[in-house]
Amino acid sequence: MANYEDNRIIASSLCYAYPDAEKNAVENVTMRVKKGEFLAILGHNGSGKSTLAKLFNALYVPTNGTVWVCGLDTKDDELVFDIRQHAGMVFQNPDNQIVATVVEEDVAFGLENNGVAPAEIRVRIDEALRAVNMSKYAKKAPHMLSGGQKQRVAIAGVLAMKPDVIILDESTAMLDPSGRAEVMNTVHRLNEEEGISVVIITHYMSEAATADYLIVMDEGRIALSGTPREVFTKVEAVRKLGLDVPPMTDLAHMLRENGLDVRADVLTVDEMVEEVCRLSSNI
Amino acid sequence: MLKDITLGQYFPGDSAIHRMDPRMKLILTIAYIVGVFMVGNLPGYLLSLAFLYWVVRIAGISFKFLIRGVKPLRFIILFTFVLNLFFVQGETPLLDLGFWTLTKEALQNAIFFALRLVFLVMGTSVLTLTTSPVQLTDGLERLMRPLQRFHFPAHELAMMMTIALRFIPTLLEETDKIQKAQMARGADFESGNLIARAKAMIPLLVPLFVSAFRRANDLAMAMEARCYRGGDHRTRLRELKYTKLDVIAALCMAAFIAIIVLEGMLLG
Repeated sequence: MANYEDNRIIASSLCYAYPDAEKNAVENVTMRVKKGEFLAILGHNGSGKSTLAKLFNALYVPTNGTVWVCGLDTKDDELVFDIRQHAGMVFQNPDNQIVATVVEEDVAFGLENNGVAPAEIRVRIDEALRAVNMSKYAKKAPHMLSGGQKQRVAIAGVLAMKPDVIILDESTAMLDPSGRAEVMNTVHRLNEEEGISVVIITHYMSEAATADYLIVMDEGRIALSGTPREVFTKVEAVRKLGLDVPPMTDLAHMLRENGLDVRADVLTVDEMVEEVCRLSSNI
Repeated sequence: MLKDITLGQYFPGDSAIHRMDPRMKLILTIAYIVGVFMVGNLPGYLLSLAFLYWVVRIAGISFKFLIRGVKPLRFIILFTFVLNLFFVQGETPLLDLGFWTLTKEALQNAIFFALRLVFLVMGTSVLTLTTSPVQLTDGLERLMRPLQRFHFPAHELAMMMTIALRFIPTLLEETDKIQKAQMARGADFESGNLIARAKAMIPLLVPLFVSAFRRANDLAMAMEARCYRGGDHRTRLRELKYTKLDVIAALCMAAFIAIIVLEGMLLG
């Protein structure tokens, strides 16, 4: 298979059907996650995006096609635990993924499962908690933390296993706006500073817009893909999939429809301000 | 009322009691309970109470908190008390109502049994309040490890306990939320007789169970994603080691038991 040093995850003609389901939940998906890439997978409920995430972690095994995680085939039973170490997963509900009753013991859970020596576990959980800015909560009980903090603990638990890819399966969906910002800032920082590839599954446009690459799922297939700018410029196509475009892109689209010559690929307020200033200076 | 259950809620701290080896704490808790069950007179119970109070002071927990933990069990304790009052055969009558005679022995027995239950709950509360559930199950697992040779599922049991303990606060919070939601829809949990109240619990319990099953499903997946594969080859963040502290604690407990036994022999 292709060089896995550059491609953390490769999916080839991937299909998955739930037991007893008539239709495939994931249908013929071919994609890759590059080293150090920040990839967003967008889609409405039931579009197969969460199923796809679970295929990347060997929680589900493909019905057809293949997934390679760091060069390891997820169909191989013997490799399952290696794969899960390479591709860490953070789930949606912060309460339902914390196993232990003390923060640092929860961070240690994955390492304990993999039989890491106690002294090494100590070093790694301290590092991981520092990386997510949760060091001072190390001895706290998880149920006393806010949603955003719980998710950061979950990220630390994954981080301690030194993964190459972190997959966030709608990990911000149950958080308030400040919790969401906490989690997004953390993963962006890990992506930039540690070079860890990130896959976020989301239905928030604002989160998807910050990614390097964007995949829009519909009915289990890849409907659109490209950089966020490329994808959101196709306003009509995105709308047809039942998704919104970022507000500024929407505004740019409306302005263009009314004959104003602004760029179509505006994503942020700052870019819009620039465009409007450019227009007004031309008049 | 639901918030009052202290059993299974860990209070993080760094006292001598907190730092003890969980195995030793487990053994000593059992020793304490056995000790309390051997007590047969009032001074003995006062001694047991004093000992418990001393331990709680060292651990830095409020004693009131411990007493509050007994409150939810007041019906069981009352039931035991009444049962003993009625069914223990005694010789010295205190009160004769014709159909039933209250005897001194029955009253004594009833009081002692109730006290034993109270001490049992408070003693185990000290254990769970000062030991993180992960440590507690670590200790249990280690203590039960010899039984694994006979295919006793020591690790699985320990894991189940950890998870149960971990979810107590979460489920309590959820119960509270559902209760408020149902009350907002006009559910009445407060009035009516016992049967009516039990029936009123149905709209509370059904959603709670449904959500607990969903949580179990989620948690299983999260554990799998973090490479959980049972107890074999598992290491621990904290290796269990007996220290001087444990020896001192064991000696203190031995002294307590010795005093209890001596006192029992002296005062009958």
